[in-house]
Amino acid sequence: MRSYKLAKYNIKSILKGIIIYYALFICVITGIELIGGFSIENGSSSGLEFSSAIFLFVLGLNSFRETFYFTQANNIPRMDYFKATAISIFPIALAMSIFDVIINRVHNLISVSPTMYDMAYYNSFSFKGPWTQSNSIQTLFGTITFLFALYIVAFGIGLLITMIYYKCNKIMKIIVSLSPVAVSAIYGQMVYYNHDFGQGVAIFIDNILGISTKNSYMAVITFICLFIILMMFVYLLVRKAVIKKV
Amino acid sequence: MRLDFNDDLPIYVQIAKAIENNVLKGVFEEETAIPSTTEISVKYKINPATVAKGFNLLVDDGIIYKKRGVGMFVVTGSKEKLIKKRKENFYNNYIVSLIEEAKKLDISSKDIIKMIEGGL
Amino acid sequence: MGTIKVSNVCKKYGDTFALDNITLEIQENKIYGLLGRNGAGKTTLLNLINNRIFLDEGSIAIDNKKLSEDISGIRKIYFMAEQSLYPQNMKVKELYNWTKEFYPNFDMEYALELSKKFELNINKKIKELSTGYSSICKIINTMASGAEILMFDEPVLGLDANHREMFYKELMESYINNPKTIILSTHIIEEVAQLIERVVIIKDGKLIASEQVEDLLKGCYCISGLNKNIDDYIKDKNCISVDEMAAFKSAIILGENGEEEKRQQRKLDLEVSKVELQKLFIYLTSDGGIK
Repeated sequence: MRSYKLAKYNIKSILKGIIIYYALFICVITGIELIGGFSIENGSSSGLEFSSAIFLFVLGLNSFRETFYFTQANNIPRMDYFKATAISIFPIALAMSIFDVIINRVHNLISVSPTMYDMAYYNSFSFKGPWTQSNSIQTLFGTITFLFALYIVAFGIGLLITMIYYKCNKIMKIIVSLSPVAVSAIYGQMVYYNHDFGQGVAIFIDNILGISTKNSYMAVITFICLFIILMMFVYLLVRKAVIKKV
Repeated sequence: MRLDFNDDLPIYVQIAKAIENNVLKGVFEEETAIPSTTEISVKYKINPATVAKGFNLLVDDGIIYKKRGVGMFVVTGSKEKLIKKRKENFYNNYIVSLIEEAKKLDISSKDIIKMIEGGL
Repeated sequence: MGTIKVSNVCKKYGDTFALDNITLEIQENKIYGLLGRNGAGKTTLLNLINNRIFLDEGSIAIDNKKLSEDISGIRKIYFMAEQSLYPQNMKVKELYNWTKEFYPNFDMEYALELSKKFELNINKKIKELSTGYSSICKIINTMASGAEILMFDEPVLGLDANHREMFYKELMESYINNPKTIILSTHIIEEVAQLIERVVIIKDGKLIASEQVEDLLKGCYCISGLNKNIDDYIKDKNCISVDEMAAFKSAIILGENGEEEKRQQRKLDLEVSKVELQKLFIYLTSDGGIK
């Protein structure tokens, strides 16, 4: 019960930000089109909805401290905070994925703008050849589920990162910040010295995202699994989270 | 009703004494209500349990009684009771220290009697 | 109900004990004063009871249900912390609305009535409130919460004398009309000395007193007189403090002021007076003050 109320609080506090985001987004697209002269030949854009993923990532980054403190002020158990956070992201991600598809379809009336889904999973997609966007139930459903799963992962990553930072002291923070650089450096070295390794990784990613098989649902399952793993770590961190003394 | 937190007497005793004084003076008439626990508690910022304790002293002495749902009322004849009690304690409460002080200041009993007659 | 049992609670930070083996009981519907010097461990204790930080040893039970088994007990408590934990951009009236969501017994009418009395502008955002009004906002939120147990950590920080008086009066009235358990943790001891029924004193993480205020004060008295008379008197007594001024000394004695003692005092021409809670607190919690 409390989790639902807290989820309601989460959603309400995020709503303003979402409205501003979409207002800006639509303005920017309209601006680009105006400059381009509303012509289908002049330029194209693609995968614009990725900005929503970035937006949700940033949302995740900002969604810990204030909400957690508010939770503590109302003596709400940490488990409820965790449940509320997990619950509140689903309707937001779903609404945004549907809304993004709608924006995209409207945009496609004016110029060519395939979604990431179209580019990755549409059988006869090609950048050079003629392409008409499909509005079949399969495509729409596939796009929405794909975006939904991507968005919840983006939020989850943001949330986990901000919680790790919250927990860390100065030294740990530096280590955590450098780790992506370290990982890519190590990865680069391994690929350089072991060609098969690079191949293996590429094949693995292809499989879990279902790109060669043109199966978006592989990606959806991958993202959902990733989200669950992220949330597990979030849960472990929330369990022992404490308000910092001023 | 004046209460002095710095006085040596516990607050609940002071409350009882103050109410007694007001009964004697006639401010609280017999069969009328005295200020409630709430009123005293809020006005002087005293824990109601302390106020209740003071009231209990008065109830035990038969000065006030509780009318259920209405409040605390002054018992008929309590003024008389108080006068009698105070008279009995008059010597201990006032005369003893007066004599002590007079001795310190070397005031003769004749002078004391003159002062008293002048005052009364 | 509104009872709390703290049993053998310890909280460590590194090697230091912030709280060392604290055992106490909070009974229902009584007003408690939680006293202690800066850093003694008062806030730590309150944070532990409200599960904001975690115990190292011992257990805490609310209404006989251990927190380790059933955390929901903390929902019976509204804890007003010194820190501001509310979203800075939230308006006061939004805060009341959200508190009502999480504390169903929240009395909105009462909150609005108090806001008027204290002249708190409920349309202001939390971050726009001054220190004093920030405290007032938290106080009103706590008092209107409808919780069975109210805990105030430094409630009158930044409040002017008029508002402090208003707070104490409103608190008394609310306590009488709707009995509840109240814990006041404050440094301003003289102001709450008459309000509280029981007192809990913490010194350096240890519990040095947990009893009725009256009993605590009955167990000590102050005597004053000539130096050598005082020295004579305190020889065989538990004296916790001595003050000297020219040829006079005054001392605080822990113990009963019985007939034997009164006789000695008359013989040595010593004056007796009672000790105020704040004075007693200072002596008990100074370095060297013993209990």
